[in-house]
Amino acid sequence: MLRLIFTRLALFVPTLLAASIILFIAINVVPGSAARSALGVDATPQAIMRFEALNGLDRPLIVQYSDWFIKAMQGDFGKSFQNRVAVGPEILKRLPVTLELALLAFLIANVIALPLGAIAAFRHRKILDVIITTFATILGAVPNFWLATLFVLLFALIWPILPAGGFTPFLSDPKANLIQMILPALSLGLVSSSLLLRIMRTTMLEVLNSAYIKTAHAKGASERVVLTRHALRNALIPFFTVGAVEFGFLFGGVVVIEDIFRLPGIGSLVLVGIINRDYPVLLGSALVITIVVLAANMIVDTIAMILDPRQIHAGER
Amino acid sequence: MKIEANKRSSTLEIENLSVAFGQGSKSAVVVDNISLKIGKGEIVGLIGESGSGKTVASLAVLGMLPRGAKVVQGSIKLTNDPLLERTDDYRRSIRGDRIALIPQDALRSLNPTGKVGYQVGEPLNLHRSASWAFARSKAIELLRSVNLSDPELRSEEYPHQFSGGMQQRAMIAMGLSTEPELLIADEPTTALDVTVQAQVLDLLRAVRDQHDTSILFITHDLGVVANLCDRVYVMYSGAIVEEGPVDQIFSNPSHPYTQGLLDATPRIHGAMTGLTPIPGQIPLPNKRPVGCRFSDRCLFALPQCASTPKPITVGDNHISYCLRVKELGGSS
Amino acid sequence: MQGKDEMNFLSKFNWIRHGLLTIGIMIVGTVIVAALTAPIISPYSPYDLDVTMMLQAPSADHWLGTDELGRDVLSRTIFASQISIQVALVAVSVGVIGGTIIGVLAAYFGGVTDLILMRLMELLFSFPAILLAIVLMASLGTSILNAMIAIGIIFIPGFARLARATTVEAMQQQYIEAARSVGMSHSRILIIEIMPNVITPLLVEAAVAFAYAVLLESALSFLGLGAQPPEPSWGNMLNTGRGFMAQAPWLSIMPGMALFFCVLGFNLLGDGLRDMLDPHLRD
Repeated sequence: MLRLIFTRLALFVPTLLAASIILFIAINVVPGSAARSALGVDATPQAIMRFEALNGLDRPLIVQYSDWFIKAMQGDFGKSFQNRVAVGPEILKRLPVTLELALLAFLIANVIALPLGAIAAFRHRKILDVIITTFATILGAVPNFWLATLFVLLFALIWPILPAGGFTPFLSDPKANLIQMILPALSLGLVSSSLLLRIMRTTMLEVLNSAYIKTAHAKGASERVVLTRHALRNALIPFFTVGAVEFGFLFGGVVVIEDIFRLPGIGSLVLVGIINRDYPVLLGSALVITIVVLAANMIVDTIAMILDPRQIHAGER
Repeated sequence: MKIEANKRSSTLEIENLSVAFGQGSKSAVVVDNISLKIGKGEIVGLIGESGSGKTVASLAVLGMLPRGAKVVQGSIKLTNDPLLERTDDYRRSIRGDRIALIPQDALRSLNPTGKVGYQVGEPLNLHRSASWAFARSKAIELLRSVNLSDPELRSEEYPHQFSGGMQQRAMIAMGLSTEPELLIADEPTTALDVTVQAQVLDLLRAVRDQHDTSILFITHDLGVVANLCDRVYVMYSGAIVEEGPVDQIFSNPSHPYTQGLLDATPRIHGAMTGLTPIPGQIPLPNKRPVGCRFSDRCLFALPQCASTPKPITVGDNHISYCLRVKELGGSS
Repeated sequence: MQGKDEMNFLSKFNWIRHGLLTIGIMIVGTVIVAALTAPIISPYSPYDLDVTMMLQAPSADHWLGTDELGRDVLSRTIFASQISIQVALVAVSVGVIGGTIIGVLAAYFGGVTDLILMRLMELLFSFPAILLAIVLMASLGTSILNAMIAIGIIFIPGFARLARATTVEAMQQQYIEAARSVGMSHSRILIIEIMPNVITPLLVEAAVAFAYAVLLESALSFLGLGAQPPEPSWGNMLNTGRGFMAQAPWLSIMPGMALFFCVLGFNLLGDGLRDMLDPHLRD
């Protein structure tokens, strides 16, 4: 099985490479856009040429890419077009904020989705299932930025019990930090939970219809035992595999949520990058977010693999 | 003396059991007024094709009828214990303890993410408050008793590491763990090849010989029945059409359906007269012919067959529900 | 007792299932009608400023109040549906066409083509959608049209995967063998035999993709990257509303409500269609 894990890890690098290429191509879809965006519509051709020479944008794309990527892998994400500040350290400073937000949101999403999804499956076609499924469908249609806005309206303005934004690092004041994170994490996590809930319900239903669950019943196991001892682990395996797709949605939401709550994370850096047409900033932060998403996917996939005894022996037989 | 004791305290006694699915106008009677007895240490076969209701009957005994199915009449007694009058919790407490199920598809009936030893020993944990350590050690003994080599190693392995025959034997070990009064084996040999089949049958026989366990053996395979069972009930479309000791059923089949089954069964010994499948299909529960439900496929049907079939004794403990049995002279 | 329902008598539940589909159709229908008849049904023009009437709470004159430039929120909300529908339409079309071509080609020709194309699609799929859209628009420019293109590109992998799966399934049917043996050309086979079977599940996915497109477009305009004011889009209305949350909370509530219902409607439509057309996908 270790062999399988190593294979997974080994695949990470080419995947990362391919992802970086895609990002680079995407941002260069219209050639020459960097200089024109940074300098504005009235830029003279000479100003553009100067800008491009200064920033190495006149080199062939492949050279630009490899230069950027190699440096990026060493932590050098170039300098901002705007203020010539190194992008790398800024990203590093902001990374923990985004990670904390994503983690909390992910936690909230799972805490809601796992039990409710399992219960809905267990009470399939009964009232509880209908209620839970309807609730999930409705929740899944709520735009997370609207939910965030409503939260701010409700809990920061009308009943001012929570802050409308801002960030205190966890290490300097854990309590303030967590209080500030409540609304952002909820906005992100609640909407994510609806998809995860439906995935959990589907996988659990499949498991509950299996022959081995019938055996567990035939052995006289109570519903609780059947659920926790037999059904859960078997349902979690496909849940992890399929649910990993949610990471992409979650991290996408980070951009908007950080903007609304003024959290100094990488998501808001992406925004800074696009608004200022600051390509190194945009590219760097987009790449880092992508790395995190790919890494999270890989970790979750690996966990699913470890949980499954059939996989453990797959490499050996 | 012994016969009387057996008569009085049969392990399983089903009387006039009917199970229906659905309600009102859409209801369908899947098990229709069957009565069945299994004595202590008896192996009784329940033969029928798929759709005959045999599995539903076994689920009724276990108390595992699916949603939508209900017992509409009758009684089920486990050593004089009237199961249908008991609470759900009670029935769950004896399930896996006094009655154990050996299901059909062994591989799919085992939890793929659980070690075999734990699964085999689980009934002890559920019903005898055994610690997992104790359950595991008992499981090793059980695996050994079903002729699995290296039981200590096997009990730490996962189901996918077992062969088909080993899996089935593990299921039997699981069923035996609590020394049940009644084992219900639902087509346990169907998915196995012949040599492994023979081993499993030997195993079941040994179980009966050593523990006096009663076995309800559900199958559609006549060859297996002939091999293993003491008595046989033949079921068709929800009703019992013939019952009796196994040698009598085979030497003197007393119902056109039974005869049809025999004709349709390939046999290695004896004349290969060619397989003759029974024409037609099992009717849907709500589209049965009136009276004898086999009448629309029966070569010997007469207008009288539209009346309710009655039990007719044709031998020692051998009963047929074909009203023409006497005139047709038993085996044709 | 858990187990298979031999006959399902909870017909009440089936009704609810189809009830959801009906609600979905109603909502989507309402949105489309609103988009088509916006100039007719809106009480005011979405661009009419009246600085004396700014930030008015909902009243008889202005059912949803007015915004910071005195414009009628109701009218702007109605007109915003046009943008959402347009963007979703174009984006989903781009995605469906591009995705179907790639998916069908990958499945039909198999081998290396399949491997490369599908790996690429898989990779694209794991990107956070907004991120890719933002990066694309950095180069393309931040207008509505570019938003349509960017979102469309993001949809391609999803549809490609679906098209490939259904094509593979269709190809395993006998009639393809028969057509091949009679000497039909690749393109004829593709168009006549394979395409019809691919269309149906594609429709289901398209409905769900529609919802996602509306959501993405709103998120992008919320960030200031899509429809620009004075064009009314639910997203940018919510964005400007942010600045006036204390004085005019309705600016943050109403457009969001419209957005929510639109997305909900398409989701219900997609789910309902899936249940009807592909019953074996149901639980």
